Amino acid sequence: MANATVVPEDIDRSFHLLLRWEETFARSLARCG
Amino acid sequence: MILIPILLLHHVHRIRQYRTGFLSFAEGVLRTKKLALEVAREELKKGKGLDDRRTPRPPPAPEFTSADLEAPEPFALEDAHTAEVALLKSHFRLLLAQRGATHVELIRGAYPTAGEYRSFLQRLAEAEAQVHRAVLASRRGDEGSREVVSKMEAAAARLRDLEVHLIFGRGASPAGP
Repeated sequence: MANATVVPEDIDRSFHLLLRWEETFARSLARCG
Repeated sequence: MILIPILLLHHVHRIRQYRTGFLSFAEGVLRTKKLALEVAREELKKGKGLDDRRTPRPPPAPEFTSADLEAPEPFALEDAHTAEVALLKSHFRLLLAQRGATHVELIRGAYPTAGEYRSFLQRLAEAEAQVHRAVLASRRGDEGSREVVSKMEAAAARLRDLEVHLIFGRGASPAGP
């Protein structure tokens, strides 16, 4: 469910959280293969 | 006696090929996700609502468009990649619209139950498999690529299963919520 009070700063913070997570996932994937 | 070093060299060469294949595969996964994540962020910051499903056509499968790639069905690959990016974009828009200080909080805000998150991961795995099938169709006879894709799909499934457990706890069984 979307949160109506999210502001651009929240979006940027979440963007970097998600990016770091996806980079970790990709590194793990490369190691697991 | 000469055969053994030759076989060893062949084996080392194969391992190097696989390692390169695994790295390329993981880089391709990350590139597609970054693209979807950046588009999702831009759209949300420009004020497009979550119900706006329009998706700009992404460049065709950048991770697989090397010059030596023969593509008898280029539209199948482009369509599959467009569908994968669209799915990821709507997922990231949902996550970016949450308030949370950690990745876990964002996921739990967007997907209240393990079952809902697993359902998304299943749709993502299917969208990715469509892209892989389209790529492999253009590389008929390339057993090395087929093996890399097969191993990486299995590895991604294992990692995602671990992720669900990490986010929703050990009770998050594949069948349950």
